[in-house]
Amino acid sequence: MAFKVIGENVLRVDGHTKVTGGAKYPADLEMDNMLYGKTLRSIKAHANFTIDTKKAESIEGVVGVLTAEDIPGKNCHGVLFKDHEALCESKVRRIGDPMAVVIAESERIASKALESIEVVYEDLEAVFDPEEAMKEDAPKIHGVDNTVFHFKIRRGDVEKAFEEAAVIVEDTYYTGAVDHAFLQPEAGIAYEEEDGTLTVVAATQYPHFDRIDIAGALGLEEEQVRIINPAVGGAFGGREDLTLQIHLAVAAKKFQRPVKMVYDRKESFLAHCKRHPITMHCKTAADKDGKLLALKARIVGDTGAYASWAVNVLRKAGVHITGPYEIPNVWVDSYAVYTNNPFSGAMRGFGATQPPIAHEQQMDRIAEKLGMDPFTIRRKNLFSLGSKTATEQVLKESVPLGRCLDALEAAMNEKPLPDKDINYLEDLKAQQLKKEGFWNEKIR
Amino acid sequence: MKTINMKINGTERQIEIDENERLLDVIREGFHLTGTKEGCGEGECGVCSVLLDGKLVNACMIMAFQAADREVITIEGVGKDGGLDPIQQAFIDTGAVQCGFCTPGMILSAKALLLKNPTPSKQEIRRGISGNLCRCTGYEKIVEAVALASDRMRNPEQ
Amino acid sequence: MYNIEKTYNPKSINSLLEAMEESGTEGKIIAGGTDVVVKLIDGAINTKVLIDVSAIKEMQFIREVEGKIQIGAGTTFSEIEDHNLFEGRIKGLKEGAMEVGSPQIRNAGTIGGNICNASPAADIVPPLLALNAKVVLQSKEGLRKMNLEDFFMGKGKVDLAVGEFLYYVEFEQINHAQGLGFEKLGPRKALAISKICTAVFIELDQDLIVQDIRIANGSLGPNSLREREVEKILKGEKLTAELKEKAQRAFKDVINHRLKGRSGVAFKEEAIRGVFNSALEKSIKRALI
Repeated sequence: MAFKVIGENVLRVDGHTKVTGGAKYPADLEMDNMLYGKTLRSIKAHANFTIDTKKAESIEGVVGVLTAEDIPGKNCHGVLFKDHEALCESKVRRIGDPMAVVIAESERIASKALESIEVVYEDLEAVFDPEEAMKEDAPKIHGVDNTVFHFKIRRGDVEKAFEEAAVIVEDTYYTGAVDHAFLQPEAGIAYEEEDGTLTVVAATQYPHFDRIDIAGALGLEEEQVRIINPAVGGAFGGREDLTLQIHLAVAAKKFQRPVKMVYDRKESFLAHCKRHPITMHCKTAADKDGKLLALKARIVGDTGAYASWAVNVLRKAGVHITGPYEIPNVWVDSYAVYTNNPFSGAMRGFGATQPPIAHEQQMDRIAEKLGMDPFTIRRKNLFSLGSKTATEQVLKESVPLGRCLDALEAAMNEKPLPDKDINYLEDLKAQQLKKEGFWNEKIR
Repeated sequence: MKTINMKINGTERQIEIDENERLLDVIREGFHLTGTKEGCGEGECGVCSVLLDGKLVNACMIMAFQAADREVITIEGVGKDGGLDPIQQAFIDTGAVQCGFCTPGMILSAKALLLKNPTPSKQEIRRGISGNLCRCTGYEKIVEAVALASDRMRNPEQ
Repeated sequence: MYNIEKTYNPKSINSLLEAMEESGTEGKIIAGGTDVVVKLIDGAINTKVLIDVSAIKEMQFIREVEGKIQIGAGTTFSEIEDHNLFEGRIKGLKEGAMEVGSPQIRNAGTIGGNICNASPAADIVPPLLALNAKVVLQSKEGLRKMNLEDFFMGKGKVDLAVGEFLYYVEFEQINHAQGLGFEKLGPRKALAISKICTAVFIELDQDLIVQDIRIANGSLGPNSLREREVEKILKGEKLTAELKEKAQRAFKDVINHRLKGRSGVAFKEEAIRGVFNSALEKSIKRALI
């Protein structure tokens, strides 16, 4: 059998339209008789509110202002739990929560009308530290316990291993929130087709999930909703949760005209999820030869105001906290917790990105305590073919980590770091002598 | 409102602009040339790069009225005679295109660079595209594409 | 939300002066737009009238007049970067221009805009201060000349009267045994707002005694500023490794004192030494060209 693709250089099907500027991203679409939407977002992290849109509605060129009351079906969406409101009804849970959408004849009118919406906030006690949020008396962001998820690994006897260990390293590591900053800010257009199908064109990672949530919010059958995914300007996990899709759909249905929305960069930052900030407390033990004996880890991930993929991300973080190392005794508690911070969700690596900050520093410090080379200690413990992970998964296929370390070490030894301590002044005198007559030429 | 003259992609045009519009708005909404993108609106990402009187600029940071009586070239005006510019072809051939959102700006940066310096080193290419972000992080391929384009432009028989 | 009602496109200094007179306090000059447009959108400036100076050829020049270099306010960073006048001993100025933003921003942004924007992090300003540059201001009343250093009046503020604009900057051509060095540290190579940038002008005699020295820093105060306490330590002394070490320590102390209580001082401390050292060494090397 001859392969047509594998082993061959294949040109992208969309390469030509993308190099000529012809590829259509959602912000590039235009339709006749189109309306524009702009979102009003919360400036409070945790508050009850009332909203008055009358003034904004009376502005010339404004066709209407959508609030939670305008959502005909279920006012909720979410990839795992339906804990997002498409438009907040009476409470905001983070800065940036969508509260209303102005629909107008032009983008500029819509933006200006936003300033005329009157909101009265009643501040609620907010919580920004996930450790605090886990406490019993913490403010409840969704009316239930803030701990969304608890993942456990119990393998062997860690306490016994700690007693027998030659060296123990224990510390806490933190990672911050990160934004995907995909280049194309959220944008989309929605319209009703002649047969009544509601079509939403938006850059998304999950057209099928979008359809479920849009149909639910509109009170329509899934078959009555069509999602078109045009060219997408990067996503990296940041387009897995819905942002403007329901707003567009509701507006197009209500006003029976095509509606377009385009976020600017600032709104894009407010609208989509972040990478989970994670706190990792690790206690790692090794014997005198550098063989790892035990790891006890407590991992707390801040999922912010909404769960999004918190369960999957913190499960993955819990699995990956051992690093690519064989450890016979492992105890892991990994939690995902609601706070009033920006919400966290999917981003490249999905919970596997944060743990190396902890486990690799632990390895270096154990090596340091044992007076061992950092490469050596890693090689002693590295996963290889046939290794069992802490969750008892047997690695049966390619495990090329050793080769990776070899290449790394070779590269590091190949080029020594440039010597930055060349003392320039030491050479001055010599230079001066070389340039005989230099000072005599001096003009002044 | 104000009427200005502008030469865009080789054609003299007259267009009515709003004083609040940026050059980017006029290109995208006035001339419907949507190959020029908006990514950050403050000169960080370079997806709105165009040539203004032959010089590479961010169309998001120039007001439309400032472009009166000037010449603008956008990605739609880069190819010649309906064909692709060697830079565009090189981007396709090396796999320098991923999500594609940075691509028009990258190509214009490469164009400006090669006009000024037809034989750039890798380092000079990196500096030439330093005002353009690629969040798919395909920089290696992009640098390769610009080098390939430079090579092909000097040795067209290849 | 910004709302521009009137715009001017003067092509000459005379018509610029007329536009400024007509618009009075409402008129805001825009050149490359790289600061003004961002500020308009952010709501940081609120003006109804914009006057574009980017088409005034009379403000775009780099020339040498009787031992003095004059740079028109409308000159872009790219034009400074590409000009052969700024090679060799005075290369520190070119280095400042090269560190600004990105190719796109250097093609649009102007030296006049960078000065009048009065940002603490303006990359071209420390080399100009180290060169003891003067600004020449023009209004209907005529020309006014003052030290660039005195032109700054705090973050975002310069000493420009209504109806007055920055015409050009001027400084003495650098001489034999003099050198200008520049170094910048930003979070990344391009499009980085300086965390610190330092320019050093030095003049040495045949015994390596520092005849004159001017040190200017960016990003470490409300505007770029001269570091006279550090200059004092070096001036009149013989250049030795010990003296350099002493100057570095003094430099560090001055900055520490100024940044007291700010986050990251411990990190900045090391960086500051390195940046200063590099700028100083470049200036010395160039003085010996």
